[in-house]
Amino acid sequence: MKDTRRWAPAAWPALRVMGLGGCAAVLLALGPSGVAETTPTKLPAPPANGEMGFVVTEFVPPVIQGKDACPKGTVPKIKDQFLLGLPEAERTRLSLKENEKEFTAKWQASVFGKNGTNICSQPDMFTRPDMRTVESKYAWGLDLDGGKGKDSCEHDEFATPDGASGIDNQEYRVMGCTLEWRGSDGIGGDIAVGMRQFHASGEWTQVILLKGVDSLENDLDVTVIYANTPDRPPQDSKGNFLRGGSFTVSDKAPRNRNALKGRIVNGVLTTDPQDIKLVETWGQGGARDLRGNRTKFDYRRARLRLAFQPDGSLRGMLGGYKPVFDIIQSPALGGAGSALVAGIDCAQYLQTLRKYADGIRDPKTGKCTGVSGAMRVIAIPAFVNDLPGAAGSLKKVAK
Amino acid sequence: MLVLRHVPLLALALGFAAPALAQPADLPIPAATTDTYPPGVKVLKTATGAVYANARGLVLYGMDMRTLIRWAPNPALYCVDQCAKEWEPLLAPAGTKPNIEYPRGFGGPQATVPAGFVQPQKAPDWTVIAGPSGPQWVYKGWHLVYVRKGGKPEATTWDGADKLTWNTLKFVPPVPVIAAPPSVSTAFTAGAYALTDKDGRLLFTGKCADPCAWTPLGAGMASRGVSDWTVSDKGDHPQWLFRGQPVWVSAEATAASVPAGGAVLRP
Repeated sequence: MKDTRRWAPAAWPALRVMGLGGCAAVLLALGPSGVAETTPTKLPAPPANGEMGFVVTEFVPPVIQGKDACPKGTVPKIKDQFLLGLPEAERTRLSLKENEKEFTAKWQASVFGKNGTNICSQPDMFTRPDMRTVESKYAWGLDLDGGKGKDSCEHDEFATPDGASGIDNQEYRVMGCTLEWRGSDGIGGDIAVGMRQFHASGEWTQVILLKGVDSLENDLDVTVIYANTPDRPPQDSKGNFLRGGSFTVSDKAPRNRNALKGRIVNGVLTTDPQDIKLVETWGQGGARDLRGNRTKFDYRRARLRLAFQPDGSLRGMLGGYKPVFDIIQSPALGGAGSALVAGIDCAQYLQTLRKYADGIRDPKTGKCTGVSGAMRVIAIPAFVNDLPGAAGSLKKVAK
Repeated sequence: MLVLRHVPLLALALGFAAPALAQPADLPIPAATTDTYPPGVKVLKTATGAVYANARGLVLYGMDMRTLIRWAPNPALYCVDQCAKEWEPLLAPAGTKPNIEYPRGFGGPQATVPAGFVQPQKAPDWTVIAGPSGPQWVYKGWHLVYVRKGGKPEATTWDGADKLTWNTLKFVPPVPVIAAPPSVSTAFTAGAYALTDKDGRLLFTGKCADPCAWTPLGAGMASRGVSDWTVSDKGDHPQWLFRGQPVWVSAEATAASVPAGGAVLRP
């Protein structure tokens, strides 16, 4: 078979140009979980064939830690919410140790409705109080609507900690105070840890292939292939992805290969708005989910904004609009277990997401059915085999 | 072709674990495990491949019950009202006792599998569920069977409709039983089964001209022949022969990767 491997930069010569001190300064400025892109003062020339491959090592919601986002704490779990909704005397009574059995039976019963429904499998069939949302003015993300897009619905915008304004990230506004996102230790929630594992396992692994790169500093015509690969990333003994691994774009259905048009300006690659679909199965290695609807990262009018880093990596954001239900797909698939074990109130999440929806306007009702969102993306050099014409492409599907 | 007349008997006869995978438009199609179908059901060849159809030639669609759990805790009863105006159920003979039901979720009104019922994950190709209009056929455990009302014969228009809820019931013949070395398998490709290695690459025979650049299907040093397969030790490494002809391995899992002069091996 013809070797179609793409050149992967092991490390920019700029590392040598900058020296270790300069490189360390840049990395320190980013911080261990920094999302802001850094633009090196000098970037090397791209490879002669203009093609560069990367594997995504980080693809998580960008949570800003600190107390100003959620001063009242994280969103209460179902049993705590149940207590909070009771008159004080009853709350006190049920909180007593001797009434624990009664309390457990009552809050667990609140998870279920008529005809075998429960708040996670059938969240549309329940009405719950709105959830606690992010109060801070700051969020990471992208300006998706240019301030007031015609397809957008009324919403407040965030600013980034480094000064960018007009940031659209309603997903963070709603989900940013949940324990699953924020965690309890100031580091991050379960979602960050879980998503890393999905990428490491090969289940969600993403690759980026840049084509037609003439300059890493300024090039107004770059093709970006953003795709899934079935290949598991090689890792070191601490679970870090190794540079220079080889990956092939998936040729098995359902396959996701997003061909994007991009440009590089001052060392930052930005793609034009376009729908982007990527694997997001919750099926423990399966091609589909264990139960319920098929899940997928389904970003509408999405774009990448990635900065070339002095260590050869890419760092930045994927931003776009997601259908609101997609955000609770995982706990919805978990059914009543998500509510009883993880304490997640899917109905409350869905209801609040709908309230803050700012995109994907339904042409019939005029209502927004999606929320703006962002994922932090970090990608390291890799060899990427592209399969542009693989037979596994999705065929046209009737509406 | 046999026609199914007694559902519980069939379920009993096919009590082995079948691959109850998905039929959706975007996933690989599992092979049929039986050539015994419900009354009136037949296999039809269409431009996009073989599908099951009813006696009138209308293509059968599976309503993937897993995609409807959000709207109905028992998705077998989902298709009423507007849905029922568009889709006609493939009903089992009146009085047929159901032998499958949609599993209830963890923590809910838990239902163990009743006696005489099978789990969807382990269901044979055809089972019967209690549908909105009575006993109704289910394909491979999850796909409640319908035809589109007003649809034309052989039409596959709604394949994948409603976010992959409705999918044509695609037909792949049962996997052939072969007597072959452990390193040999089968794959359904280009409308027929072919022999492959364990990675799905096609096996072929033919005379390899010098200098030979084809990849032989290697045998172990201690391999012994089985059925039509024997081992040749004339080359640098032992190589499998099929009916006395050397067996080679294609570069990929497509017929296009078989070199000129090579003949694909079929079971």
